[in-house]
Amino acid sequence: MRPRNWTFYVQLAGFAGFCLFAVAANGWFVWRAVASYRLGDAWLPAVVMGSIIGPIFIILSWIISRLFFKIALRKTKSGKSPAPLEIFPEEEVLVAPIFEAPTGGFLATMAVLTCVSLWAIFAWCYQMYYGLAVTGLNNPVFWGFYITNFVFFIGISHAGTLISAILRIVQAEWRRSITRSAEVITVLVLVFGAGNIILDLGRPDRALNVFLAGRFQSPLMWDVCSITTYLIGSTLYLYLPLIPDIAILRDRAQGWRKPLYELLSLNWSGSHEEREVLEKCIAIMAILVIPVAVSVHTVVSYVFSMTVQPMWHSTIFGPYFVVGAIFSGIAALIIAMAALRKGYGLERHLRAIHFENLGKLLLVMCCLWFYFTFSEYLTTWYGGEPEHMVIFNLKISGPYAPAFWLMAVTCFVVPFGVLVSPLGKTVRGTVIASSTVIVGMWLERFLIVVPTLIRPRLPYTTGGYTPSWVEISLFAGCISTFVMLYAMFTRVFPIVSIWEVREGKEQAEREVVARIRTYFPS
Amino acid sequence: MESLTTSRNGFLRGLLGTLGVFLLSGIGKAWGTAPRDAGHGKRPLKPGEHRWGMVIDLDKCTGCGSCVVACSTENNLALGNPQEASMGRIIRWLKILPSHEGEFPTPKQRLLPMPCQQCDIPPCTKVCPVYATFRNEEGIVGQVYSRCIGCRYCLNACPYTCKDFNWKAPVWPEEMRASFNPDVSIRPKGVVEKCLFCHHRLQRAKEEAVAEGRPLRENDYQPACAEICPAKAIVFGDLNNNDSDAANLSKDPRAFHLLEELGTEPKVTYLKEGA
Amino acid sequence: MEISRRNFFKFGIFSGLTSALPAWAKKAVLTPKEDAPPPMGEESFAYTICGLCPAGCGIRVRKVDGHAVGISGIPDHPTNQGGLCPKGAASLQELYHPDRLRTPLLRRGPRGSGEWKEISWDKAVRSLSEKITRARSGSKIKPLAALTRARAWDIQGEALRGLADSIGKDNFFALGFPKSEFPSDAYERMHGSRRVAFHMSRAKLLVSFGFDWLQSYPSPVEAQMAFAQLRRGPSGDRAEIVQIEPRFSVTAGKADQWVPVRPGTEGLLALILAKQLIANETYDKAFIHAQSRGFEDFKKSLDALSLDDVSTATEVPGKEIRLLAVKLSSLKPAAAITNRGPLLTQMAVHALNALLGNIGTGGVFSGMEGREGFWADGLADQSLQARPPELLLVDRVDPLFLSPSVWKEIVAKTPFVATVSSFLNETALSSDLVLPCHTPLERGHCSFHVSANGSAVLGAAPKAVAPLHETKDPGEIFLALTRALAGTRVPADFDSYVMSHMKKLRAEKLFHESSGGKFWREMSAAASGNPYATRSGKFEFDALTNLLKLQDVKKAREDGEFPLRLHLYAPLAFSFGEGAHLPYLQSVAGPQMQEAWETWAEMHPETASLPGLSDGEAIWVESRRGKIEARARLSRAAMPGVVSLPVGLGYADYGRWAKGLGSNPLEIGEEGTEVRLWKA
Repeated sequence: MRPRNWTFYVQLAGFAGFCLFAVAANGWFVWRAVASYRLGDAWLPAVVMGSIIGPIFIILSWIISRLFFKIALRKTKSGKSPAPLEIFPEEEVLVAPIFEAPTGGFLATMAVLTCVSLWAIFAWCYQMYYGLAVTGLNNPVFWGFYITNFVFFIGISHAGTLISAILRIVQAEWRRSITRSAEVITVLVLVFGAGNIILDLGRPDRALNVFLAGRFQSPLMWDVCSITTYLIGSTLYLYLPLIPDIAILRDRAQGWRKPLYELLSLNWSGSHEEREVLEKCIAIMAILVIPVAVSVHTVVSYVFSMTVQPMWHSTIFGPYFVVGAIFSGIAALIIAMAALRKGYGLERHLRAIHFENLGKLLLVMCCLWFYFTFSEYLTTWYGGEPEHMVIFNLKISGPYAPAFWLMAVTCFVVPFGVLVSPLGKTVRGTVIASSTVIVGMWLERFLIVVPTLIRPRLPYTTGGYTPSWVEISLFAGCISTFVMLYAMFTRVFPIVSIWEVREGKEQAEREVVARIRTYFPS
Repeated sequence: MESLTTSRNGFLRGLLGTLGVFLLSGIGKAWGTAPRDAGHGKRPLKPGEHRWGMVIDLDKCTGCGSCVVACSTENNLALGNPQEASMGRIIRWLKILPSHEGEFPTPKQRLLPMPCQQCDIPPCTKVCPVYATFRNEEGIVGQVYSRCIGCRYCLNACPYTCKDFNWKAPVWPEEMRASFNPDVSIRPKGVVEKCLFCHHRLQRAKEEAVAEGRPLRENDYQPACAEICPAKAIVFGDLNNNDSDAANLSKDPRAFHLLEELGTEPKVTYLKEGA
Repeated sequence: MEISRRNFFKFGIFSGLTSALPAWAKKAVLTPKEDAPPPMGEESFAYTICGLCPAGCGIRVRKVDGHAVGISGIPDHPTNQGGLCPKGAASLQELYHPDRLRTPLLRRGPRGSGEWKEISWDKAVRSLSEKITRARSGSKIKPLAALTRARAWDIQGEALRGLADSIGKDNFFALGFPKSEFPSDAYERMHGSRRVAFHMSRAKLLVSFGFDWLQSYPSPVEAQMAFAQLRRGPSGDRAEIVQIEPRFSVTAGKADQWVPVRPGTEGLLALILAKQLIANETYDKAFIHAQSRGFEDFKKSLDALSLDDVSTATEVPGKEIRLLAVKLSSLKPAAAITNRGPLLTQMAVHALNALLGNIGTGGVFSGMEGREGFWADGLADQSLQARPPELLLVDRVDPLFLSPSVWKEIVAKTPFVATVSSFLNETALSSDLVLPCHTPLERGHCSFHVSANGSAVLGAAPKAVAPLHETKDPGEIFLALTRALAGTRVPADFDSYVMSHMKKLRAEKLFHESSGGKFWREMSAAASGNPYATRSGKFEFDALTNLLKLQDVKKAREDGEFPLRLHLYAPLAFSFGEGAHLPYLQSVAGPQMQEAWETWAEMHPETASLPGLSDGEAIWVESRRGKIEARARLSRAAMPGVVSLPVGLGYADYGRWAKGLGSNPLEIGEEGTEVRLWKA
């Protein structure tokens, strides 16, 4: 039995807390279903949602319990503390950001970002005090920048978990050095995605009403459930492969980092049994997060497509949004990787082949995105329903035409052109393509949210929308805070998975050769 | 540790058990009793039950705007100012909506007074995440100001765009607070508000009927807009009462609903202009 | 064991979650009941007369704890039958307006500077009566001119007339808003009486010449009621409504036919229609023969008029004019109505009524009993412009807003101006003494109104609510002044003055019974005998014939420096030019273009004549007299060559909601003024 020091109790609390949370979540669905029934409202949505989300939380708590019982509570051979885990010389570059003092450039960047974030916090306080009157929103343009950013950030969040999970499942060996940086994007950006909903609320002080009076017929409630599950799931999915790396850091760290790593490393010693447990958990999580991730952006699109409003009420919005999300997610990942590579000198770990492979994925998503966009707009135009055509014309030739055609260029023409050319194999080429895609995908979200509201179905009221400084500040603040948190993460945890790369070098070659053999007649 | 494991399994089993029991009993109850009507969707009414509705005769209506002002006074609507007007943020539960067709010298114009359409199948109540908007048993679509989180989803889901949002706290000069209708609360900032068919008047009429020990009569309850209309173009009444003017007029050959094709089944009926 | 633990956990989690919430969150989240409305007090109802305009609708005021909290129409009242116009519905805002005047104000700085000294009522009345005494004893010129609003007889106006009478002769004037008045000048000259009763809903064809009657009728509620009657009356008949007007107004939009006409040429169109009726011999020959005088001369004077000329001048196609003439003679009774515009238009339109045999028994128009007692006089302008008084007493009317070109001069020449008003309107702002008065809900009423269905209503009701501020009833002010000047013959207080008049009218019972909800007496307005009060006892064409001889009616169209024509109209929200101070009225000002809270200039896109002018841009509208700023609103329904502007905005003060908002087009001209546009 391991010694009962403070880390044990905190870990126990975490484990127990999560299990209680999982039970509470299940109970919550039951409660809401009963409450709906009592109010004479449909109770089935709560039951359906509960029977999907509930078991997921049970599985998550099962995984946590595995971590707790099989790793943290593991019986060590009596008296012998395990040998400290070592860091090989070629891995020093990966832990350098953690153990070396930050450069002046890094600190300056952080200072600028902090200023932007503080300004955004001021803007938010300003909005809280005066109400949403400080935005450019109006009747009938009830949603604008915040909802656009919500959809955009949730889309970006598909960078990590989904890509990493898919690559893990298909055993793409080149994934090993990029999964971590991807997964961090997911967790951090999701917070900002959900946060934009809070920014958008007229009464953020009543946000908890969605739990206390939640009503599962509302697609917003589906979002709440789906995003919460995704956030918890991807945090866990980020954490699992971190454990061995934290253990490596634990054995070298000094000062305030030491207890943090001791707590989070769960007493990891690197034994074979531990690894088996961990890899099984990771495998389960990889499978679990894929449907959750797909569901997240599907229900985000449902917020729009469940209404009867022209050019929102579309059956392909689910997959269209998911494709767009992965598209922008990969683009964000490429940019993040390029920045890390440049900033921390990781050229040996994040190599051109990684960018090339991601570039290929980006190209595939680019084509898919074009296919969906084309289908969506062609169907609308060919059907020619007057209400839909009003919105269609606003985008194609009306006041939103510049934004629309810029989107077409930045989401398809430029990235497609770059990625099919030899430039697409280079870091620079993929970064150029990715940057335009990020801009284009934001425009796409904006063009979905706003034009439909400008011209409501009844032709009487028409509106216009120009975002105010508050909305722009908060958008800038979200981005700056995200970058800041991302940079801070790289200062505390290795952004390239040390043990996975190591494992790849040690075992993967043999495994791949063996696997390839199974493909052919023996 | 052993006991912990057992209890973990116990949780699971217990939970699934409850879920199952709940499912079965719920379905059983849904079959056994008539579903109540607080959500959305309608049910056949028995005689004597009420289904409040409005008929607006566009042939009589002159677009004078009395209804708009009467509604504003009755419901303590925010006053408005030029800045709000230029931003399209004036809150009016009932609006006169113009539409134009044709050009000089033979243009056509329609002025359409539009309160909440009080749909029988309201698209707005469906999407509310917190039960802040609902359709009550008499068909009136309500709004709970103190529960609304201000997500404005219902405003976007409403194809008629006839709900309003409090972009900021209403500004009331101290003197004007004396004119507040005490039956209607003042909305805080950040919540959605809407036409409730002057529901507070219904409550008062019911209280009076109970106090006098009689059933509610047809004309006991009139919203402010119908009461004030100088052209008598707005007729309000119980659509479930075959003797009421509103019920009869709503079956007039000139009757139509806005965006009928969406299947929202509004309880505000319009009568076409012309003979 | 397991089950109890599960229950324990479930319960524990939720109670833990909720109790862990911070207090403010709990308060916000866990109280799903609506914010409690203010506690309900004692409810009561007061029944009175609206008093915001000459119509005299019956209203029911809902009071809680003495505060007026609701207004509705009285269903039995003969004038409004339960309905109210937007202004009536907004009258609570007038009562509770935060910028109401509360104490008498004496000017300190130069006129119009807005620098005032607050003085007591005693001092105000004393100083005013001293001024009047001095003016009376002093010079030869007119010592006092009293100006009130053109409206039906009421007790406050009676008190003012009493005051004016005690000072001298020909010093009591009334000012109206011509767009919202009946063509009484024509009635006087052709009919012999300024007042003509009429049954609007009897018409089978209603042709309006430039009268946007749904928005500008002197009794707004009755106009809406009459429209509903004409459309879907109890008989099931449907009258045809034709609107001849330069603007596609609300009335034009609701009419069966809109005849766009160049501003100011409606009279010309009426004359050519008269000529057509005569030429087609489809006029009412029996009527003309028996009941009119001067027809042959009139017929001759029309000779000079040709259809083509009129068609060019009015821009109405000749074919349309001919069809309109046929329509007029085939649908009976057909009524031609107009407002108090140019004299020629008034008379030409009323001549049409005579030709259609519309006057008298069974017709739309009839003579009226009780021809006295309407405060309306069009001659105030000229007589005062020529001989400005020593002292001008203005009673609840805003001449500087309604007719700035004339009254600026009169006010400038008048040494002392005292204004009775609830708000700092344009005239009050340029006065030397401002006397704050009650709003209508705080006043006692005794008044006489004529309705559009041929009846007259005498109403008498005490005040609905106790006065909110230290203001006075206008009648009380005038009575105090009269007493200070004339002494003993005047009743000691206003209440006994009111009662003495009630007794005279045998109406004291009405006054006392008003709490029961019925405070009026209805009587027929139509004269039982000869409808004409002219010297000949017949309908007279002479005045029109003489005017035609004097005037060259078909002015050539000028397209010079100022190529566009101005058309002015009064939205219902700002009827009589008033209403901009009430925020609820501001938001219903321009229903057709959803325009509110600003002055907008409606025009056809081709008219805009400014390259690149787009909808919603700020422009200057300039005439030879000046320029004002407005927002251009382009409408494909507008008549090319015409710029339409609403009257009712453009006050320098008039309370916080009107202050500095929009502009007053009366500053730059009137109907038909030549204008041009600039981008602002």
